[in-house]
Amino acid sequence: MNERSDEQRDPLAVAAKRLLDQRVQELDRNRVLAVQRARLNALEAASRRRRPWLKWAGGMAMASMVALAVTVWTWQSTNANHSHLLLEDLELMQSPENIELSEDLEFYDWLADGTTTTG
Amino acid sequence: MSGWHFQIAADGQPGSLCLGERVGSLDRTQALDRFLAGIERRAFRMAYIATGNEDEALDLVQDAMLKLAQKYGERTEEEWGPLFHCILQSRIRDWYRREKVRNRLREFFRVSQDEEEGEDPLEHIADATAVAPDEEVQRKRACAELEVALRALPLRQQQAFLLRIWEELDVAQTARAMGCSEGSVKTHLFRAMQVLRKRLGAHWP
Repeated sequence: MNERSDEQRDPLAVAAKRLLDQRVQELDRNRVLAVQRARLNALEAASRRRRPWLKWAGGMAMASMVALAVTVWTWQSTNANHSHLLLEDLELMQSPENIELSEDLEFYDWLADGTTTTG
Repeated sequence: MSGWHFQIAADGQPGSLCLGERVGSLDRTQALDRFLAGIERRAFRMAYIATGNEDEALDLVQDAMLKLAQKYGERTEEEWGPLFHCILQSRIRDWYRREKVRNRLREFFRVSQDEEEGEDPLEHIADATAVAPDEEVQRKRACAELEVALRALPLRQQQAFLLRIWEELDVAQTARAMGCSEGSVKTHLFRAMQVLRKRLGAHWP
């Protein structure tokens, strides 16, 4: 890497470096896997942090889905109520009793009017 | 590959630029992965020598990797080595400070530390009775003695020795990694060599 200094050429330093290197090669499988896992975790976490817009995009997508679901549900329930009322109106119009009811209403109206004039 | 990325960017086509950026980013991640894979074991050993605890060492290494990837992933590959050591040594120093506080608290509450101490360094000393070639036994013993002696060094001397001798960083890079002056690095290394020579003896390894 760099030009070796006096300390790096010292026999003690040379022997220490050699032994430390050998010790690294002797790491057992479990430790090697643990270190590799740590690296993958770090890279994954870093890539997640580098893309904060993904979090926003996910949130926006979720909010849009909820809004759409609420809209569809409201629209459907509103339509269902309307259709129900429409059916009731049709039934009222078709039923002969309802004509009588409307005639009675006219009678009550006339009666009320008569009461006010005679009173 | 980064050259190819710049070539695409120079075309001035937004679509190509976007694709180029993505490819470039992928290349950076792969390069960073390769770099980290190349140093992870040594970094782990270095953190382990400093802490004497494998879990702590793993945490420190993972933290250092994470910070390098997050903050310095866009730097040139030549800068990653010194930067990584700078981060790792900083993490180790923080760990030491926290550990000092913890030790003080333990002493204050008179908690027995027998169970909480890290691995016994003597465990690493090879069993001389085991059946193995003499040379191998001698090498393992030398390794264990070195590790014990390194762990016994004050942190600054340990850092100076490992970075200068093992990682072969130059004085300026070591000073940056240790957060001190170049003169301090030389002093710490000189003292570390003296102490190690004394502890390991003339016949080591």
